[in-house]
Amino acid sequence: MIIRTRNIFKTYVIGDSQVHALDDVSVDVEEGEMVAVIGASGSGKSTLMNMLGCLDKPDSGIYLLNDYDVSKLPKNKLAEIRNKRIGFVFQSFSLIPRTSALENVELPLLYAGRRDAKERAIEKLESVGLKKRMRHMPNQLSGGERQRVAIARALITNPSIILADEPTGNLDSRTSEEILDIFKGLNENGMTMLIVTHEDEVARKCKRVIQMKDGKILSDGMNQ
Amino acid sequence: MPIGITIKVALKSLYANKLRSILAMLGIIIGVGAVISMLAIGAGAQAQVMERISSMGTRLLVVRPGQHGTHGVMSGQAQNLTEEDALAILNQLDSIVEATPVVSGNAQIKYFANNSRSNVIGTAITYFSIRNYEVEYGRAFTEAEVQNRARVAVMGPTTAEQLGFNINNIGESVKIDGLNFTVVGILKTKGDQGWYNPDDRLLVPFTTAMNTIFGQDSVDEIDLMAAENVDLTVVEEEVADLLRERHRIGTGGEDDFYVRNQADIIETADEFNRTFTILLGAIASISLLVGGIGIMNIMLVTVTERTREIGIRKAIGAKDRDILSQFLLEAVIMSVFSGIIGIGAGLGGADLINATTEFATLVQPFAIIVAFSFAVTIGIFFGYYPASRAAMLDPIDSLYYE
Repeated sequence: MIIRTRNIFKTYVIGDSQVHALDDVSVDVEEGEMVAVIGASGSGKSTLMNMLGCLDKPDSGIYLLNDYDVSKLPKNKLAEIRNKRIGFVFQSFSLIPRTSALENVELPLLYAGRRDAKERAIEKLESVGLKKRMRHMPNQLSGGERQRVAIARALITNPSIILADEPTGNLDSRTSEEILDIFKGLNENGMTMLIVTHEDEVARKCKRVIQMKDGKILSDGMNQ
Repeated sequence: MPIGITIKVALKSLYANKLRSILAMLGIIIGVGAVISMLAIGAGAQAQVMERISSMGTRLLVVRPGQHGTHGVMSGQAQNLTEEDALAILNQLDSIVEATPVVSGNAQIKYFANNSRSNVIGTAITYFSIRNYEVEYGRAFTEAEVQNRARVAVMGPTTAEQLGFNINNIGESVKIDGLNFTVVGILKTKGDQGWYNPDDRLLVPFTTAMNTIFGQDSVDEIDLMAAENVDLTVVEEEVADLLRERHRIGTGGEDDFYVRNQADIIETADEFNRTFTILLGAIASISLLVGGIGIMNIMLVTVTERTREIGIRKAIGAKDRDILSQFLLEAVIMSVFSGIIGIGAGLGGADLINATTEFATLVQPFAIIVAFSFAVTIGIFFGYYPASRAAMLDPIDSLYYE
């Protein structure tokens, strides 16, 4: 089991009102799954992703990642887990500006203190078909290319799971297709994927769809 | 993260915002430059005063008559120092190697149609060595001429110039207060020293001066040269004891003379200059401090502007200290570069001040080290707050920061 959460609660206080972003959420994700999380804006799907990505801690409940309880770890430990176990792909602008594609991909390994960062980064860029453009800055790359660089960066530490937040949100349909094909390919090779999206196109490509509303899981089932 | 990579990242981000970085650095550059050139002015003034003082002879002691009077009512200078006092000091004290009586006053000097009002000093031949005078042309007067009250004079170069007296005229006569004196030599210049000009004077035998020019039997001053490697304050006390004995001044009686040594004068000058240097340095340091605030300001802007980048870095595994060192390093690199450029500016500034003003400047390695390390310390101090703010940012808040 890659992910196992039990009775997770998360409440934000905005002004005078309380927002139950996650309200008793229990969800399991097994190795090799490709899960879509859908729901309207404010349904708690982003909070869920942040929680699963160890960017945030639950107010209560248990979160086991690779059977290891990460719900009460200190900040630095969480940073280490994000670095080693989780690959993030964000909606857009998730590359560091004025920093070449190669250097962006190297970064997680550099934070891990690894010395073979460059060779491995070149390998990963090659696997997403961008070896030729590795010296380019983010602003010299197209939206699709940037997302491919972000995927290469997410993959470089061989994480347990890829978490993608609206990965095709800013892309045209043809490019979206390309990115989803890459995801599918990765999943077929055994990578566990969790994609937060509001696009039906994307959800249809996933085997399992979790629908959220008001911080609760509304439905969780296999795509027909 | 390896430090080499962190430095590269910091350099790259500084380079990407060239103009902003340069403007932030400008404050520190000016600060370091100001500290170095201000300290150079202080050190230069100090060196100049030291040089002037030591040109008067560092082993010099001067005995002058005290104020004359009883119970605190002063009625003019005492006339009680004699040629015999000078001889007694020389003969009875081992710590004194030379002694010369001095009488002095201003007199009208006339050479054909030219005249000048100059300082006439009547003294013995040892005066030249005690006071570091050298004869450039001709000769000094001799012991025999002193004994015979000869009317001979050695002229200072400024006086000679004023009178139109040159080296070909040596051997000719000038009139001192109407009396003919043969000029036997011209002194080498010592340079104008600000508060008095040692080149504008005439040296004559003291015997002649006392009898013929000023008509007095006491001397105005006794100049002494101490032996090498003796403590001048001890010697000063020995001289005073001897004079008290000769002038029959009992214990508790008031001295009718006073003795000063060159060390006292040096100390006073030194102290003044130190205060002056500290003052200049402190004013310049304020600009360095302002420069540090400039760096902090820019770093705060940078951190805010790069909030999203910080969020991404944290999401992919940067720890708080990675972020802290990245931004702290940017501030430190800026201040190190500013320090280096500032040293150049300080050296240039010191040269410029030297060339265009009457201040002589002297850049001491100490001043460079102090200014540079002060700049780097300021970079760390003012860089730390923005960097720690960056490090403390919440990853989610910064990731979704617009």
